[in-house]
Amino acid sequence: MLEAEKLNLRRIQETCARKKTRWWDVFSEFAINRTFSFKNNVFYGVRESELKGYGIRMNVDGKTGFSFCNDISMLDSVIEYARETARYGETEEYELPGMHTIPHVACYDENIFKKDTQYYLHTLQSVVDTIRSEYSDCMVDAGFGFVDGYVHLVNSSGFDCGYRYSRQGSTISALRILPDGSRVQIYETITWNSDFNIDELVDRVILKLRFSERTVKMPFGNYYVIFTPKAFGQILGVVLQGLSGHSIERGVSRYIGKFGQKVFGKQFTVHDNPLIDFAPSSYPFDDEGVPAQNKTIIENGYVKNYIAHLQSAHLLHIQPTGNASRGHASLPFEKFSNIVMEPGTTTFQDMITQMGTGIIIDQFIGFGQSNTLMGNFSANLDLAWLVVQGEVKGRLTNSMVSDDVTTMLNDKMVLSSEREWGGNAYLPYVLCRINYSTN
Amino acid sequence: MPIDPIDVQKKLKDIQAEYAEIRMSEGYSTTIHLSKKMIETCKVGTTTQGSVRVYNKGCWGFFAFTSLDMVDYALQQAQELSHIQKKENAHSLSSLQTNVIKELTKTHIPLHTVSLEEKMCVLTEYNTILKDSQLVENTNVLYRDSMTKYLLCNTDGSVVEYDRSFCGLSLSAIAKDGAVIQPYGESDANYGGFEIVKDKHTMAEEVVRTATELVMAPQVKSGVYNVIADPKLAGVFIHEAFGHLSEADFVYENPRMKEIMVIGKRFGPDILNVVDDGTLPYAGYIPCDDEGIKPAKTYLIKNGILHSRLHSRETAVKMGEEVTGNARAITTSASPIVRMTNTYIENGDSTVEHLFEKLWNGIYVVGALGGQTNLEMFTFTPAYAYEIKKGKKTKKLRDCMLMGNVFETLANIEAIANDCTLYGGLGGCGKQGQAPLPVSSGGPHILINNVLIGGKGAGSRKTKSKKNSGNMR
Repeated sequence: MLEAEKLNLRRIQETCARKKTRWWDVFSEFAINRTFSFKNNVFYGVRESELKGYGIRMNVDGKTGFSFCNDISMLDSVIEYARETARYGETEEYELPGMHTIPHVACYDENIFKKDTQYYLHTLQSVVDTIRSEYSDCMVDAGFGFVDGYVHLVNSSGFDCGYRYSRQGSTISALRILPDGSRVQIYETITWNSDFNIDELVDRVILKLRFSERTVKMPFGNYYVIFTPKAFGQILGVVLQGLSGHSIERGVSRYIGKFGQKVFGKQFTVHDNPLIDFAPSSYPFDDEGVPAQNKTIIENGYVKNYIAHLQSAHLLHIQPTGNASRGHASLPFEKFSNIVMEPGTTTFQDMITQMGTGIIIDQFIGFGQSNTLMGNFSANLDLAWLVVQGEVKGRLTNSMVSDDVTTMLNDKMVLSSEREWGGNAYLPYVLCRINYSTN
Repeated sequence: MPIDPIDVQKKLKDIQAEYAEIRMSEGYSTTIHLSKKMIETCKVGTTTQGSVRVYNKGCWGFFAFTSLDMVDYALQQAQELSHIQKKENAHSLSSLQTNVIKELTKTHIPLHTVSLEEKMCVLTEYNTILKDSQLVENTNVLYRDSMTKYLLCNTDGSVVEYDRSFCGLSLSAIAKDGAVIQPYGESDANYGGFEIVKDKHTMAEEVVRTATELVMAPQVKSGVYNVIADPKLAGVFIHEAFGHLSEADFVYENPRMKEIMVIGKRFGPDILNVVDDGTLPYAGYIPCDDEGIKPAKTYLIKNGILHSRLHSRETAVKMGEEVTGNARAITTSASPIVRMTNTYIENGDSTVEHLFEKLWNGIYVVGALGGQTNLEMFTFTPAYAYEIKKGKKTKKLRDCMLMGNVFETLANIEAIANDCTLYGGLGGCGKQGQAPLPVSSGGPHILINNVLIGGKGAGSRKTKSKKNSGNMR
């Protein structure tokens, strides 16, 4: 299939080259995906999909147009659509990158595809059985699957390169209704471009079910809190909002005028690194052909850098950072790759002991819905536990937290020595203080 | 490749399956996004996609594709996948309904008659209005339309051909005053033509006025309040708080959930009636669901009592209840799952004025930025709020978020007005990675006691709960 698609790409390339344009690029993607799923403790089905698509961007007389399709027979129409939309597009004066040295990063592991159906069924059955051996009333949903994908970018400046990626992922959801009628649902998920240990996910689910066996209450107040890496991933999303060229250029970033200044606690260092072998958001070049690079975004609390694609880099007079992302049907936008936060020196267990009385937060509901542009957030607690004198007492329900990230992530915050991958972020547990409300 | 329903139907004749369906679509879409400084996006494109789903002895095989000439291969693959594991005593999902439907969206201004230039011209007018304030730092005018030829054929003999035209607009402004950055936006979308987004100048004026007022407004202080929700937020509330809980795929194989969600159980006051109805001409309209079942007016709550729930083929058969036509997929390459359509609270017996008198002191929450639930607790975010003193609106408040326990909050509904209105928009509903699915939601103004509101700082308890309904029992 890949060879046939490469031939299609040649055809698109030749057709675009014949058109009168200032520049053009073609982004194409192909992927085959297979997922096995269990629902409510039993095997449910298998989902397989084939995706392909081509996105064509053309700059005509300085203005950029865009069109897309996933059927190669539509090619001529789509090229005309791209030319037509260019009449109404924005004036874009930057140039596309030419061919350059591509950094090496491992994105593909063929071993993922050597497993047979029975392996997936057996693994998922084992996930269900292990959780239910501890909690027999638990309803478990679990999915396990892989992607075999390929992306290719070709442009009028001579860039012509593609890379293959593999991806393996699993999601486990465990649901219990407690005797008091409260509902506990724990989600754990992992994505990796190579093999991973699913047992770690199962262990985490069981630990969190254990923490949630009782429902407890806690009055309003300002408390110590430990965010698990999964929960802190959402807090970090608020921190990183505004650290893109797009938001800076539009004047809606709260970091404008604060670059080089200390905004957060001295322990806080965050990198954006697309060059980690087999990590979920690794790539050798971004979706505009700019080489991938590791960069420090926040260093010891000082805001250092932001990400920028070709357009915002040009408008802000900086170099593009290799963070353009796109699907075949979208124009490039800025996106962080693998987010890596430096760890601390305290273990998670010691954090719980040191905290005395406080809250551990693992899952929110509706986190992204508050106005987070200024760094404020309000979020309902989906999964959080009360800790008293270093001991987990039970799950807190009907409660929420509100704060702003700058106040919260100050010099007094403590980071754990352990880190966990959640999605594209590799994060420690984080101890700080927070405002807590309940009804 | 043109889609021929007769050809597609023939492919299902020889299939070895208890139930199978083929869905395919060809679409043409336009997206335009203008901001204060520039044209962010102007794109048109075509999308072809489809899938085959096969059911055998309790096992689903599913194959999705983007090349329509792969349908034969997809049929073969989906059949093979459906034989991977068999279950004893699996229910039959076939012979439920046969529907042959051919439908075309009615439009006043068909999308294909409006040029890109005309679309740009109208949108630029809205953007000019949005930009007309010193306080507006950025604007977003987002326009999206699509024309899609949809086909569903299944082994029950259903053939659904639907030429669908969808059009929508979202207008937002981000106001900035010193360190305060405040967004506000409104949206409208529906099945139809360009008429849906024409003459929205007043909407643009309202957006810029509200954004610039809010940036100066104080934040809501955290605490527990009695609140009145306007029809838009009442809709988001009922969608989040009860609509998702009524989706039977959360219940059908869970014995404890079945005990909790038993038909006939009281969930709210007598005045509360909640409906899902995919036949209404709003954004959640469907001529047929993605399993070939016709939608219906389904009472989820009638006179405060759990009356029925939303079903796919599978959940209805397994629970021994009637199908409701709520199996929907975001695209033809996604699996149908149980989803809402147009969900609303029916009119009550109070007037809006009566609600404000009854509230006397509290918070009036207006508009909706979104909502989410975990089926026990929910969060919803109004666009803004007013402080109510002695039954009158006083100061406008920003950055407000409401949360609560679904069951306690339903039981805490004190009064329902008689001004039911439904709203759609360019956003939609998300579930299991399928978003944004077009839906609408609405209701009349409703008065709810003891709602936890998040905002600035840790506030104090303002009102005591009058009722004590507890969790799911």
